[in-house]
Amino acid sequence: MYLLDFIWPPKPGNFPTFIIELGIFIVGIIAGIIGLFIWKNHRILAKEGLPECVIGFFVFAFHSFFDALDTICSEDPIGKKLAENLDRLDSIFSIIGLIFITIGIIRISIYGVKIWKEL
Amino acid sequence: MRRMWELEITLLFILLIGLNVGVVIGLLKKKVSSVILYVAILINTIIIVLLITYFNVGGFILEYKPFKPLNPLDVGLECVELGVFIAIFCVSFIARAKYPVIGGKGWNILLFAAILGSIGMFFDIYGEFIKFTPEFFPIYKLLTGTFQIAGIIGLTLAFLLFYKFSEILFTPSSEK
Repeated sequence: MYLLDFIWPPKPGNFPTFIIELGIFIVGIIAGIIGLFIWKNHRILAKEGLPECVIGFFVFAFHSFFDALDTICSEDPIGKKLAENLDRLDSIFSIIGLIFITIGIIRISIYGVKIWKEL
Repeated sequence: MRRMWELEITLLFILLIGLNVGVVIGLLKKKVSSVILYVAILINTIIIVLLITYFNVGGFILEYKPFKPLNPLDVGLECVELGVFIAIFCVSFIARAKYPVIGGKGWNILLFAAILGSIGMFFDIYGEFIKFTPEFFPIYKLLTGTFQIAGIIGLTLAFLLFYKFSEILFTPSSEK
């Protein structure tokens, strides 16, 4: 079945790849939700830095979602073009997510030291 | 051309042996910091993968050419991803060195997760240059996926442990 320019269900050859990529997406979303729980339970400590990391986790998770979508694109020229664009979107989301996590780590360390000095 | 490959392979072997002998000596003398171990893991992986590729161990390589025509933009973006993963590692390491008070159990896992993610990204870029056999391709995807999942789980675990262990240490006196 062609759904827009995606093939559903995936071809048997693409199925393992699709499942693995979707697995990364689910793990990323769970990581983001755990991050939200940490944020909720440690309001003072997680005030700075962790929000950026949580955003980073969600954005990074979506990189894998786009990666999974480009696996099931059709073979016609439009499908190939779509796969190419999804591949780029996947890389861009991955970079943005990781940059958010990096900024988060920097802010966590600076804020941790600030709180330590205030004690 | 062949002679050049032989030179490269010899250099890789020398680097592999030298690196591991150095790490073992350091471990015996207990003078190896965790960061050196993590970097050694990354370099070892890269060298071993290059050697396996050269000798085509397991015959999993169909052709030494890209699966699809290489697009510099796509490969460049993947290289930036690897660079950001390495940046996470460097930032975490520098932060711990500069502010030892934040370096705890979670911070070590954070460094380890960044290295796992970097290895995953290295495999991703590597796959752009090699055409694998159809039987091996799902295994290759599983390998890169496992490293990425391990990296994400590692980062989450690092934050869980970091906030758990830091709660008492960092809670301002007014909050106690």
